[in-house]
Amino acid sequence: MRRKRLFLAAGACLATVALALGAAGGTAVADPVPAPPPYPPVVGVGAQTTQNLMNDLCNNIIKDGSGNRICQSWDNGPQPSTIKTRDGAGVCEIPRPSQGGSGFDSLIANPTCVDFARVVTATDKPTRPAGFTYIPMATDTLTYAFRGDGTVPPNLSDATLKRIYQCDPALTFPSNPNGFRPLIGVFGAGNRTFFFQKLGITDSANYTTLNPCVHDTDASGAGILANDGRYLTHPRQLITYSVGPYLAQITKAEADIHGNAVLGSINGISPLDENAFGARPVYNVVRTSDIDGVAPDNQNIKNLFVGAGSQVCSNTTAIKKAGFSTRADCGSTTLVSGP
Amino acid sequence: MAALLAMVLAATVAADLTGFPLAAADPGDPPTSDSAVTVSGKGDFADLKVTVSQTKNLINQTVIVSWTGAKPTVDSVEFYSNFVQIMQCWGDDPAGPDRSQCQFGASGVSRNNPWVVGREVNYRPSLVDPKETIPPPASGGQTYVPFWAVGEPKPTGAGTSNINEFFNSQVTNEIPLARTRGDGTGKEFFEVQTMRQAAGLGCGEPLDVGGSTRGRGCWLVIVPRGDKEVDGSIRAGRNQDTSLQSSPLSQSNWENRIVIPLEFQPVGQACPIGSPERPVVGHELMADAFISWQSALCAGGGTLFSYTQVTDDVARNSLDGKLALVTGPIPPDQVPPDRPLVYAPVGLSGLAIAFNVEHQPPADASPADLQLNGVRFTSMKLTPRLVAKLLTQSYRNAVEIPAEEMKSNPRGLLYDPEFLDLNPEYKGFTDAGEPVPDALVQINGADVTSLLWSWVKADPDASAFLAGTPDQFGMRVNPSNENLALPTSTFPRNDPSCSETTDDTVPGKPVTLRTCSLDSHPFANDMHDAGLSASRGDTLGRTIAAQNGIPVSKKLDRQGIGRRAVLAVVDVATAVRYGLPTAQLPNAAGKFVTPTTESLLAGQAAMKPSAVAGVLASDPLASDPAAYPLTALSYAVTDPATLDPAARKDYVAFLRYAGGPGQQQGVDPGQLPLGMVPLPDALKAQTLAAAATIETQTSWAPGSSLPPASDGTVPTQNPTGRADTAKTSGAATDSGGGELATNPARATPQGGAPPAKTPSPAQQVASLRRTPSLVAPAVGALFLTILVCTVLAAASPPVMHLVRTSAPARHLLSAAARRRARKEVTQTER
Repeated sequence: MRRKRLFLAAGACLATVALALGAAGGTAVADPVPAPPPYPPVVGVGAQTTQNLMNDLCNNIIKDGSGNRICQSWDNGPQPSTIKTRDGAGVCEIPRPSQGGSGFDSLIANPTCVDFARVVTATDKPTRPAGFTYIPMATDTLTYAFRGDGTVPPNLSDATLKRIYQCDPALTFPSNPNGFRPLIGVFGAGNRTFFFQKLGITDSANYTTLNPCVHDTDASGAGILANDGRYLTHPRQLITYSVGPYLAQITKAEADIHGNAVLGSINGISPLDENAFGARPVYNVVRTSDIDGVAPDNQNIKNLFVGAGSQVCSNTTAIKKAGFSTRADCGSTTLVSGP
Repeated sequence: MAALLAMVLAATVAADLTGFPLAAADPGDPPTSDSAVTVSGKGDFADLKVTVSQTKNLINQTVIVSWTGAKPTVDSVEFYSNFVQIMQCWGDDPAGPDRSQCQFGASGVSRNNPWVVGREVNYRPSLVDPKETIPPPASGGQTYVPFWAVGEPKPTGAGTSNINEFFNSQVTNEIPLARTRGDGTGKEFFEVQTMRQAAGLGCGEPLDVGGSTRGRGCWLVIVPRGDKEVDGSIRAGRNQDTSLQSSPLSQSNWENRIVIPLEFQPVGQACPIGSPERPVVGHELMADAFISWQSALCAGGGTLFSYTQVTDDVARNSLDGKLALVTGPIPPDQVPPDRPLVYAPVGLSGLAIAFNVEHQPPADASPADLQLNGVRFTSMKLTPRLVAKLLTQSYRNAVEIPAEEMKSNPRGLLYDPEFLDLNPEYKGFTDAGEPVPDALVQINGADVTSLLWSWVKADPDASAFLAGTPDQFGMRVNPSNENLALPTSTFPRNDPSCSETTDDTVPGKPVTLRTCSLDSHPFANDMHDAGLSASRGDTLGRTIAAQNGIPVSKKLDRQGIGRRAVLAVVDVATAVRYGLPTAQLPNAAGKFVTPTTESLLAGQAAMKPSAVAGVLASDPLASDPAAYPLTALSYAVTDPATLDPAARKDYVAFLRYAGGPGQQQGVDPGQLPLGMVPLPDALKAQTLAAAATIETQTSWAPGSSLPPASDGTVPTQNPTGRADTAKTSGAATDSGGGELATNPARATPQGGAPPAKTPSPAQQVASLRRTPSLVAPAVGALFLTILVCTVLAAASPPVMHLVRTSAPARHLLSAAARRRARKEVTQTER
């Protein structure tokens, strides 16, 4: 199984990573490091799921001939809530997107400040304006997670997960005092969009109003961020979780925020299996005009993302260390946004 | 082929459940006609047989596309492999259409593998169609099959998009993913479109063929998909990389297509240009019949009768020099005694609650239950109280923020224990995401709406509910719609709640997005709009989203394929036209009946005299157990003293046709649409007598009498909704006058606001009308001079913008609702 080999490989890489970082804790970097200035020319925001991979590539690996960074990849947050992506007083100080959906929004709204968005799904394709390309980067799997000391079953069918997330009164709290307590990201977050799509649930901006057993905010009212096991504070809670970040977290290849979370299987298939229910490509979204061969193109962006020989796609070691599998179509530019 | 047709016909005659001739196998199905066609697949799909229920004399309507001999779709939630794709195309080549001539790719269905529902023909380095002739772009990116619109030269290059100026997700009729059940069969309801709905296809365009006018023919194309991709790889899995990815238009897939020719009635010019035109103004119940009759009436140099669809109230005020079609008569106190009106019955139909609800078993249901996945329910029982709940925004999901009193109401009809007790076959087959919180209802006033409310109000349980008494499960009426003044000719929706979010994507420019209940649950333009939308799984709902820092109203997607659950209040002809089954409603004898030939005839026989001689009034409380409680007649009415000789001659011809050949039921032009019932002989006789009277009596001197009513009875006062309608028709607006009077605190956003502020056209009519005369010249100026020869052949609601307070008023309503909103906005989401 590809995945299981990957798991072991990630563990073996641990020592190498710690050495390369030269830091005692071995924690991975967050946001562009060192902090700008100078401002690397290609700016990325968006999904948590792939941020540590892109941080690794942009901060540590991909350099120009003079050893300067080419890209800057910003985390999902939460602090500081404003980020600055270009040089110049007052230039490109934009809100920090907290997930892939708002990362794509920011790419659309701030074309001079953002160059790519990390996203984990292309199901929003028909609702996005034309003019953007989803470039696949790696294969990830989305599944659910729960506390290792909790009482959520380690395997659930997709039918049961659907009932849970639709607040079946027999299965969910508070209708059932012992019921499950589902958590998920905010409306527009890629993991939520993808998960609901797979389960056959129609999402909406007021979904958690209509289905109040599902929580997409924490106790303070802040939106739930992806791939963070620390939200699980009750034995009956479950939350969506991406395999890539989970593996990277427990191997300390990136900041370990998994808390007490363990991953569950769906329909009896391990999330590490390539046939897992939630297996999916993850993408970087760029402006099609930057790469379409019609002048002016952005050569930096093309070098980074386009083609199997691109800087991102050829760094298979980093991709695997981040907990993902590689893809034969990495760098393909055929999937475009729009109806 | 003939044997197969004979078998199909025999089966349908034997299963005549609706009582209409040419009935089909399931109640509500579009009837199988003698133009049904079956075609087999080829190659890998040689066992596949596809049948289309009607292929000739088509208008904008629903037909059934069914098939046998296919492999069951993988799986029950998604469409990974083994499914069918259905589209309508044009093309003059008798061998069939080119793939570029097909309306496909625009559905906007959200998927992890988007190309399957698109026009894209290049995919991945690892997935290439060896037979594809359109090359990928030299510098990378996506290429598409272009769309070749009718009347334009064939495109030479590649396409650039899935949508174009001719079709998008709002208008396309494609069925991008159709499910094959466990037994290898499938059945879909396909909306056939004419040039009016699909200008890029031009179907039904009048063409001169050998001296006669024919409608341009088109094609239905079915592309079956197995589990083999275009490169030969097998895709039998259940995630993105292990399932089908390519478009049905990709050359290898396209080669498996099944092609069925479609013949259309000519659109728009049933009558030769330059025919003398005679206007008729009438309600929606007669619109389809009128359009059908037009071609017969103008044949051989006859008059072109044009139809202007308005509300009953407006039609009653439009008699000057014209014929009007209405249900309820003009109140006698508004008719001067020396100017008697002539009434003639022209149509028998009624109001129905149509539904499009598909079985949604959970993914872990038994194989027997999964066999029903996506299959439409064919029956539904509704009580007056259930109808009251649907019409008063009382289910939780019917509003943006449920009031405190509603917090423990069920989310929708399908989760209401009252409904499930009555319809146990729905248990286990509904999805909480589509609970049916309300029904699609029209924004206009109508006499049949008053009839519906009369029927509701007469039920003690429903009345108690409307007055605020909870049902035995604790469900309460939405307090915003409590104690409505009933009956009323409209559907009051007074819930003011709005949900609010802030979008701060653009730095320094946060945008407040406010979606109110009338945005997410709006009115339909008319009953045809409601019925067509229901048949498409379109709830008409909208949401407010941010676009470039500005709030913009965006239409919500249609409900998912196989996941539809929507109700619509429509006239029976509309339900039949769009292939929708109708709910069983209890009559006063306690029997649950749907509108059928028998039940509508019984309902008509039970009608009582109205306040006007010669006009019967619907009786929703008829005690005949066979009677459908919402039966309604359409009457032609005219003021002969205002008719000039030419008009008189024309309208006499019209009435002779309506009382004669026009009552012959069928799908051919000139016939009575299915879904209307041929008038009983006594009513036809009355119409012919009325025609004779108008023709021969040339002076209407004081004291001259009207032709006797068909039943010879003395007219009496009538306690049904008729009287209330009569009162409100003289009021300021043509809708909701009742509740305006009794609920001043609840300023109802109906019909465009209280009279002083935004007078509706009916208001203007009222102020112009000088009693006792019925002359209203300004009415003519307002409403006339629209050549709408085929106004309803279009059936596209945007065409019918004449006097309905449609789209503009909806925005008015939303704005009004927002202005009056209580400070109940609590949810702030990101």
